[in-house]
Amino acid sequence: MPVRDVLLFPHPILKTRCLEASVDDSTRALLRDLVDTMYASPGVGLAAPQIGISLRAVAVDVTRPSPSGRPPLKGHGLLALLNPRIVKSEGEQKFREGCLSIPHFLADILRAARVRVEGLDGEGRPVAVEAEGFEAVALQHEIDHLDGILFLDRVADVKTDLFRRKVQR
Amino acid sequence: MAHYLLTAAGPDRPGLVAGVSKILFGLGCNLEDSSMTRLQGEFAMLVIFSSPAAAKPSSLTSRLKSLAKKGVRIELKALGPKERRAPSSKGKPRLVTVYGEDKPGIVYHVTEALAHCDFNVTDLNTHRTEGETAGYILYIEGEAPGCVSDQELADVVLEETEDLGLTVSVKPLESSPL
Repeated sequence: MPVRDVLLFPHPILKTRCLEASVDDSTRALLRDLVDTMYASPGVGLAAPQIGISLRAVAVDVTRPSPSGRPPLKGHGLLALLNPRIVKSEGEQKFREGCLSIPHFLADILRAARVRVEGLDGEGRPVAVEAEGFEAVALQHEIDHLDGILFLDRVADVKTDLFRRKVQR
Repeated sequence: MAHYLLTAAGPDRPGLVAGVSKILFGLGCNLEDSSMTRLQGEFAMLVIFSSPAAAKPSSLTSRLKSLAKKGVRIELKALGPKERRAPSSKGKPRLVTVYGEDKPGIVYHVTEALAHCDFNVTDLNTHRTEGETAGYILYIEGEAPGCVSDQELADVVLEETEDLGLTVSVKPLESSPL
């Protein structure tokens, strides 16, 4: 399956609300592309608009080994979901987030500590995940992408939340 | 296309940034990297901008110096390709947080200790709190070689500043991108 190019801010698709995905061969191919592109990148999550498709599909795997040598995080392994939505959220947590579509920026973002996400797998079977920690952050970040919301929209304090990677990579 | 670093500072007031950026816009310049902030009653600007090849440096300077009438001091430095390239990454990004009672020498001793570890500062912010005893908070973002652990960095800073009674922590400044 092809690894797609990751669109970069300020591409307009990143600010567009995505349409519901139907369950068919083309969305199954989209899920595979999302997963392949995520694993080919340093990322632990990817949403369809980031590869130019304005449909509600995401891939998340916070348990993959980090290319920078950071120990893998706890989670459910690979989650590839169509039409994911947060049906329950509770608590608060702040994690430092980065986005493949906005290189050289990191920000501390306040999000729910625990979420229950429901969606469909590629075959149209219902999937429900109870996530916490960084996996909950990743799911919220990716579902935001489906609504055209970037983590830039969630920065609350320029002085304390925003970090720039001032080095060339 | 030429590049310049502009440093400007003046008494804080609404319209200061607009005044400087209006002149640059009028000359066809484009703001690239910048950091601007209010420090007590002064507003300070650091801006890297590009200017069209046709714009004469002398006219840039004379237009900008016209702001001196309003109390804004401006310096312009021409940048070559070498100055515009950030040094290649020598290590892992970290955030060093230091706080304690305000005393002279905190920034010096902390950054001296970090320099011993080949830590390259990329961003530094300090804040002094008012009160019966003034507090001092220092955030330093930078890079240190991967072979030096966060704990080792913190220990070196603590050792160098032990007379100052500071709280020091070092965290990795990275995140798995999403």
